[in-house]
Amino acid sequence: MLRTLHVAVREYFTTVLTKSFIFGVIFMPLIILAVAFGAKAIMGSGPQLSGTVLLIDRTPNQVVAPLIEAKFSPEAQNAEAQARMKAVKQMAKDKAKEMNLPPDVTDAMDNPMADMAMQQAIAGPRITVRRLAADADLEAEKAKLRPSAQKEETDAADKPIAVMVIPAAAVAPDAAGEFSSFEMFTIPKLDFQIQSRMNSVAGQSVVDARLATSDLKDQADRIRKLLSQPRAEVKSVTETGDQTSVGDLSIFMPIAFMMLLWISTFTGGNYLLTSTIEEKSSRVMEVLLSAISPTQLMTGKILGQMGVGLTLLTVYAGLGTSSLAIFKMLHLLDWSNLVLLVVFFLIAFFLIAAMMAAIGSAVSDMKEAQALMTPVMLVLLVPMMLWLPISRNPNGMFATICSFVPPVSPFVMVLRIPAAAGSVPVPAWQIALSIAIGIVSVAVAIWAAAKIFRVGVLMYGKPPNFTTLIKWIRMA
Amino acid sequence: MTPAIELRGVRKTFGPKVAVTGIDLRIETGSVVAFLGPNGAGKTTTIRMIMSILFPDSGQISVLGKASAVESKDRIGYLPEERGLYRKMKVGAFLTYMCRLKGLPESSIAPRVAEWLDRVGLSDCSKKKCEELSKGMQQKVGFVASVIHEPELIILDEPFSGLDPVNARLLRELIDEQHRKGRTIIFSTHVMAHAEALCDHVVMINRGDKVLDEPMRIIRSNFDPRTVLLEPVTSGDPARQAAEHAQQGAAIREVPGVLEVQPPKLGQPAFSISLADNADPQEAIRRLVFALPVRRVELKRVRLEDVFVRLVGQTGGTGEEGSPGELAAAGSGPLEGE
Repeated sequence: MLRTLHVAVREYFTTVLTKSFIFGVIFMPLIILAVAFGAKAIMGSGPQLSGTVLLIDRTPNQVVAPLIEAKFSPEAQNAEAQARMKAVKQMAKDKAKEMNLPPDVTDAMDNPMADMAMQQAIAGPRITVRRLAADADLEAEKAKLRPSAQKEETDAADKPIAVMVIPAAAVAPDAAGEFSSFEMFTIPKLDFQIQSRMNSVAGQSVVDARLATSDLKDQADRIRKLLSQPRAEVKSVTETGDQTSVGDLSIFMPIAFMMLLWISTFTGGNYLLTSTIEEKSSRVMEVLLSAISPTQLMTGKILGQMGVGLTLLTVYAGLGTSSLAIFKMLHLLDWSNLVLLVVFFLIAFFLIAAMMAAIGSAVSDMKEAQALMTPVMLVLLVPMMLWLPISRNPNGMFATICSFVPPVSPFVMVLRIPAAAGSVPVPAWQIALSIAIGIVSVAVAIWAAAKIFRVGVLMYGKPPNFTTLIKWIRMA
Repeated sequence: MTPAIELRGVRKTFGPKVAVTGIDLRIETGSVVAFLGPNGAGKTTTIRMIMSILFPDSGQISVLGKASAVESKDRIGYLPEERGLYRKMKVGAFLTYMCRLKGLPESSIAPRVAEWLDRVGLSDCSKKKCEELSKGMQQKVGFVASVIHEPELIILDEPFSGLDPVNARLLRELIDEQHRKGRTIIFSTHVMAHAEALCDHVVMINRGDKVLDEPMRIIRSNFDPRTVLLEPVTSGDPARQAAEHAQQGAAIREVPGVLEVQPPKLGQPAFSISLADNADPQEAIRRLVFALPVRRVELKRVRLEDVFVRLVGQTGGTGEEGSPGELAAAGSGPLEGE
C-alpha cells in the first residue's frame, strides 16, 4: 500500500513539476486571461482620437456647414459623450436586472470612479471643424492629407484628417430633381469610429438642411417622427411573468462544466498514457516490477494522475469561481453542482484512466496508441459536439439515454445538471442511477485494465488490436 | 540447506510458441551461477518467471524458500537486460525512489545512495539526469539500483553489455564482493570469459530446455577429454606430408597411455591426442617429447565457449533467432566469444 503511494507521489510530481505542465496547463489560461484583459485595456483606453476636418460647403448660403459645426462644437461633443455614457449605464443596469444580479452591482455603477472609468472607455473621437471658403481649391486641400504632408504638422488636434465637400446639389435638387451626396476625403487608415461619426453627422446635417430649406420645413419634426422605424422589445413568457431575458449567461454554465471535466480528465489520462509508454519502452518497467506488482504499479499511476486531474480541476474551477465572484455572478453557480462535478470527474477519470493504462501498457509507441484510441475518442466526442442540443433540452430523450451509457454518461450529466437548473431539474433518481452505473463501469474497466496491464507491460513487438486485448483479459 | 531457487517442471508458452519447455533447476544459496544460452533460448523468460514478473503455465517455483518471488521481492535484486532507468529522472532521485519501492526505512536511504554512488565512482552524477550519462555509467546506476537494498539473491541479465574493460572489471569486483558476503548471484551473459572468471556453476539453456547444469569444476573435468595437442617438426614439403603424418602418428601411438590420435587437419597443425583415463597427462607429455621431434606440445584447455558451441551445436543451433513477435525482448545480443 505504501509503495502504491510512493508510485502515486512520483507520478504526480514528475508530471506536475515539468515545465510543459506548469506553462501549458497553469500559465496558459492565465496568459489567455491577461491577453484578453490587456486587449480590452488597449482598445478601451487608447489615445483619444482627434483631428481637424476641413469643410468646403458649396451649398447656397452655406446652410450645411453651421449644422455640422454645431454638432462638433466642444460643448456638443461633451454633451454627446455624457448622453452616451448614460445610455451605456442604463443598458448595463437593464442587463444586470435581466440576469438577476444583486442590486449592489447596479449601485456600484453609479459611483464617480466608475463614471470616470466609463468615460475613458467610451469617450468618442474629438473633432474640430474648420470651414474653408466655398471656392477653396479642393486639390490643394486634399494634398494636405497625404502622408508626406502630414509629418510637418505638430499638434494632433490641428492635424487635418479629412476634407469634406458638400456640393450645392446636396441640399437643392439639380435640374433632374435628384439630390446628390457629399464627398469625403480622408487620410489613409483613418479610424473607423471617426469616419462613421463624420459620415453620420454630415448625412444628418444634409438632411436637416434639406428639410429646413424645403417647403415642408414647418413639418420637419413630424416628418422625422413619421419616418422613425419602430423596434419591438422581445419578451419571453415564463412561470414568473414576462421577462425581457435575451442572452442569459447561464447558457454557458453547462459547457463550462463539461470543458472543466474534459480538460481535467484528459490531461491526466494523456499523461498516464505517455508515462506508461515511456516506462515500457525504456524497460524501467521491469525494474519496477521487480519491486512491486503490476496491479500496485497501475493503481499508483492512476492515483497519481488523478491528483494531476484534480489539481487542474481545482485550478480551473477556482479561476472560474473567482472570476464569477469578481463579476458578482456567483448566484449562477449552484454549489451542489460543484460536488457533483467532482463525483462525475472521478467516474470519468477512472474510466478514461483505465483505458489509457490498458492502451499504454499494450503498445510500444504513441502511434500505435493512437490507432487504438481513435474509436474510443470518437464516442467521447459525442457529448462535446452535441453540447448545445443537450443543454437546450437537458431532459430530452437523447440526453437522458446518454446519461446512462458509459463512458459518455458523466460528460452528459455535467451538461444536463446545470442546464436543467433553470427549468425542470434533472430527477434525483437519474443522477443516482447514472452515478451507480458509473461506479459499476469503473470497477469493470479497472478490472479489465489490470488484466491487460499485467500482460501488456512485458509484451513487445506487434501492436495488439482489440481482439488481442480481449484475449489478454481472458488469459490473465 | 534450502536452495535459493528451485524450479520444478516450469513451462511457459506465448500463444503457440513454447518459450520454456519444462525446466527443473536448483540453485544453491551462496553460489554464483552463469546463465548461458543463445538468442531466444528462454533465459530472460526463465529469469522473469523467477522474478514473478511472468507466471508459468505449469510447474512450481520457489524463491528464497517462498512459493514465489512476490513474497520475497525485497530480498531480491534484479537488473534487467536493458538499462531500465527513467531517462528524465535524476540519478539520486531514481535510486531514492527504488529504495522506497523496495521498502527501505526512509532514514537509511540518503546515506545509502551517497555511499553506493561513491563506490561506483558516480558521486558527482547524483544531480544529473539518467539520460545524460554514458551507457556504461547507466549500467552502473542500474546495478546499484539492483543491489542497494542488500538483497540475498541478485539476478543480473546481461550485466556486462556496454561496459569497457575498466568498468567490466569494477563490476566483476562488485559482484565478487556480493559473493563473498554469501549472496546468491545469477547472471546471464554471452561473454564466456566473464562466466569463467566469476561463476562456480553453469546453467545452459537452449530452445527452452536446460542442456547443462553443472558446477564449473565438474564441467572442466567432464568436458576435458584429457587431450594433448602436439605439433611435430616437419619438412614442410606438401608431397611428403601424408607419409610424415602417418609415421609420426605411429610413433605417438607407441607412447603408453595414448588412447586415440587424430592427425593434423586444415587450420589445426597439431595431432590431437586423447589419453587413457588412468594416464598422468604430465608423464604422457614427457614421453611424447622423447618419442618424436616436436615444435609445440600442450594440454588442451577446455573453454566454456567450446562447451557452449558443442551443446548448442548438437541441438541444432539457435533455431529461433530473428523470429518476430512476443519474445523479441527475450532475445539477447549476438552470440559472441571473446
